[in-house]
Amino acid sequence: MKTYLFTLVNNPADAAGDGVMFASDAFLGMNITDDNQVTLNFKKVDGTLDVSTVVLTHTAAKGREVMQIVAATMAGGANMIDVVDLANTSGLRTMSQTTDLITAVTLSL
Amino acid sequence: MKNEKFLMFGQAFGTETISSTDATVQSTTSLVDPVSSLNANSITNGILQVLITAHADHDFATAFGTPSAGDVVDISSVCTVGASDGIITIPNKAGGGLDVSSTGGNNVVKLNLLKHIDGGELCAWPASSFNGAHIGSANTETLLFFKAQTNDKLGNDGGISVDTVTVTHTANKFNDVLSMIKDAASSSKGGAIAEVANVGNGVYINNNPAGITGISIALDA
Repeated sequence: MKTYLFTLVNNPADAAGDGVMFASDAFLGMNITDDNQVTLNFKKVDGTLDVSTVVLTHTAAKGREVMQIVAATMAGGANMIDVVDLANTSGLRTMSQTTDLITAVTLSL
Repeated sequence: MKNEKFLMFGQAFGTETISSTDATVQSTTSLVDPVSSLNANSITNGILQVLITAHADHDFATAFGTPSAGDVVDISSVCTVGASDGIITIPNKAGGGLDVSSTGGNNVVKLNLLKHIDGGELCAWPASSFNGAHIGSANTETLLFFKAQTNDKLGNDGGISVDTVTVTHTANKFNDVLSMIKDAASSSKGGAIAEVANVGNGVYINNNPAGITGISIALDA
C-alpha cells in the first residue's frame, strides 16, 4: 500500500499533531487558498465523512510551483513517501524533490 | 494509485478596471476575493500589476517619459498596496508617480492579477477522482466532474458530492476536451501533474486543441 507521510517537528515525532500518514487513495486534491498557501485535502483520517487538511505555507506567489512539486513527490514509486519532512535538519525536504519554497505546515486532522 | 497522475485546472487571473477620483484605488472582490489576500508585498512578489490610462490632466514623473493621452502606462513599480485592505495608492509626481486628475472619470486604473492567489482558482485532483463529463448549456461548454475534495458525501439524492470544472471552448469541441483529459491522465505523458487548462498562465496540454478560453471551478462547499 502506498502512503504519504508528513512529519512536522524535530525528531522525535512524539506528540499529537507531530505527523500524519495517509493512504495514497485518501488524497482528494489540492487548491491554492491564499497568496502563500496551498491546501491538501485528504479523506478524514478517522474515517468520518469529512476532510483532514494539510496547509503548506510557502513563498508568496509560488503556489503553482508548490503544487507541481507536491504532485511530483506523490507520484513517486515508493510505498511510503515523505511528502514533507520538517524534521530534516537540512530544510524542508521530500523524498523526490527538495524545495525551500515551503516554510511551514499546518495539520487539521 | 502507484502511478497516479494529477490534473490541474486554473481560471483566468482576476482583473478590474476602476475609474478613480483620486490617487487611492480601492480594489474589490471582482479582482480577488477577499481583497485582504493582497498585501504590501503583492507588487514586489509579482502578484499585482497596476496600469493607468494616461490623460491630458495627468502629470507624470520623468521616469515615465511623456505619455500621450490614451497611452496605458504600467505604474506598478511606484504604487503601494495596503497591508490587508486592498487599497492601492498612487504616489504623486514628486513621489515618483504622477499627479492624477481631480476630475472624476479621468483616472482609469486597471488592476491585473499575475498569479493565482484566489482560493479555489487553481486546483488539482488525482486523475482517479475524475467522475465524468457532459456537454453544458451550449456546444461551447463542457462540464467536468470530480469527486469532491470535501469528502462529505452530501451530494444530490444521496449521491456523492462533486467539484465541477466548467470549460468554455470553441464550438463542438467536446471530444477534444475529453481527448485532453485522456492524454493528461495517460501514463505516457511525462510529469506527475498535467496542467490540462490553466487559462491564467496560458498553459494547455497538447496546445489546446479544444480552443479553451475559460475555466470556472466550483468546489463543493
